[in-house]
Amino acid sequence: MKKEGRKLDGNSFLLVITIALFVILYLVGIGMFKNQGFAKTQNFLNLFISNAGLIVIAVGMTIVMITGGIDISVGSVVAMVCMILAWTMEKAGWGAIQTSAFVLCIGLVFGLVQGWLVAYLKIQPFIVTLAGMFFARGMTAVISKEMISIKNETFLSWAQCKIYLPFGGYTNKKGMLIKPYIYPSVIIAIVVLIVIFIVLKYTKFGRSIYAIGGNEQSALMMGLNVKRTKLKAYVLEGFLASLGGLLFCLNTCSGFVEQAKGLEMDAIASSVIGGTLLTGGVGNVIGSLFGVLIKGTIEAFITFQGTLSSWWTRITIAAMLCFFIILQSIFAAAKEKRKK
Amino acid sequence: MEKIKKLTAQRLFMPIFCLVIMLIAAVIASPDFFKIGVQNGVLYGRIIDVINRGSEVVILAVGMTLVVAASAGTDISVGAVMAVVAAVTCAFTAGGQQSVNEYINSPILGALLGILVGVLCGCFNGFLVARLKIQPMVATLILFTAGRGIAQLLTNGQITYVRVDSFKMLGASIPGVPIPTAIFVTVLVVVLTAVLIKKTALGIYSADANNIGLNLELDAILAVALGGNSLAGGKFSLLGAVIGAYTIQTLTTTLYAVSVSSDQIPVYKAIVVIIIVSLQSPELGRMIHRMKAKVSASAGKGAA
Repeated sequence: MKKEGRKLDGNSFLLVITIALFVILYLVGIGMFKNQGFAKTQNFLNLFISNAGLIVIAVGMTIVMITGGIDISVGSVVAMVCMILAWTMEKAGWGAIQTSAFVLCIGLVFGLVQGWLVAYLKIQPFIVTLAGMFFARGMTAVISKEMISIKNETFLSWAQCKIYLPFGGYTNKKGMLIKPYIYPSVIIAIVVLIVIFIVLKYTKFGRSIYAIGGNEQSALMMGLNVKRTKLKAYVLEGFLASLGGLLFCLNTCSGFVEQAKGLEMDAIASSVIGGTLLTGGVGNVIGSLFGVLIKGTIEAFITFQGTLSSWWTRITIAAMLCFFIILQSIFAAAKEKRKK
Repeated sequence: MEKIKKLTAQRLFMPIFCLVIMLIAAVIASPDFFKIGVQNGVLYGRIIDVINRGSEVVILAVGMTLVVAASAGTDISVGAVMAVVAAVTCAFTAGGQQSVNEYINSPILGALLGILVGVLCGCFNGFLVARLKIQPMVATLILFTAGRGIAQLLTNGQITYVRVDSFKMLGASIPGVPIPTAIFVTVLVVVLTAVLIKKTALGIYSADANNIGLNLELDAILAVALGGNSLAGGKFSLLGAVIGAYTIQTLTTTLYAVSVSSDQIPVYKAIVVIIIVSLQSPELGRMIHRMKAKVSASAGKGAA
């Protein structure tokens, strides 16, 4: 029993470090760019607005990573989803609701196929999703090689629907009260986060995912249906990837082949920084949220600073990834020692 | 029947079988696939193209096989490391300028520096994996993320050109020799590795300064898998990886030959790879076996 308590301590300690890092980064940002408006509530909300899609995708990635798998196809799936949305609305004349439902179904099917290959044929998740990545990116080019901008009015009204918040406003020079706002996509992202948090923590399906990731053999011995649970995890993840793509598309309102390249690495890095172990069995969607927010803050730094190349985002994230991975391995080593 | 069984039981049977099928498909798709001509004193033709272009994938696949075998993990950073090495070599040789028509610094020194950087990247990955016991995929994720950023910083986000004939030699061909140079480099690397492997398991990172390896890590990993090497580590075959690499390259060249555009190629690659990997999966065999048993059982019941 005591051991269990200690184990939780190690993992929640990592989560605390992640949150602390975010807070420190943000405070530093406020200190450095106070005059440019870094301290405004709106700037904080912008983190959620520009990363709503990534939050949903990182949550899905966390689920798969807890099972001990990985999905590197998500970036390409986002590109494919955006392209399908753009093409069906602009070239085929579909309605916004129809086409949104359609892409979510595609996400489910995509997850189903990948999940079946991983769970039932026991092919490495990395290889399966590598092929998935190729497939989705290529499919995007098959649909259209040109960029398509979305002009569908219903879709644009979703994208531009500002929801004003009742707090955090300020009065500008002209004496007008400016309220901070968010978009519907932020609400969807947060709802997804909460739902998945509850599912992982309190449902049988959620606990089975942790059990399988922790030790597949003993999960099997306990009578869990390992294959079916894995399949479900990938289906859920495929759905979340397409939902994330939809939210992403609400931000960009266009579809093109090179879209969201490298997004899968952002999602994986966010999860790892948030304390998810790539060995499986350990992970938390709240941590992944903070992983995404840290990435958003670094991006905001670079935008506010103005002169740094955008490549610094990648390098900083890699450095942070390195830090957290080494930290994780130190914790793991300490745990091993205690066991002995 | 006995003989056939013996043949199919060979480790290299599946990879070679895949390559042969691929080549047959290539000939059906474009009948002049095996035609070899001579252009500007260099052998020319689709099959030569496959061997030539396949060089990078072969070299990477050989390195990847070692990594997979030794650590049961994949190195996903190879493409990014290639980008860094290429950036270092070109930036040094061009003396930091964007486009040069003669060497500012010695190209041999540049290449050595590039390889040194590659080895350093390998050391970094190796240290994380071997000493800190971090999963290979996670450890190499760091360089995968950072590599391209570093490369872009080194070249200021521009493409650096080295327009000197002797520099192009490695990428094209040595005057008077009809075989593209890259093939020599490939053979050298494969032989060297094969010799080295007998004594120690070292990861070799090599890079061609002409091409920045976008998506190559994926090709390399696929080549290893196609070569019949289990990605779970343990037993491995270098030859299998080489065959796998050429299989992938044949596929790519064939698709180009039937004029599929380069950004659509991945769709076909993905489908072919999934089919091949599924066929290699022992689970599928078991599944079919079980289904057969079920069918015959129900047939038996019907008879009774």
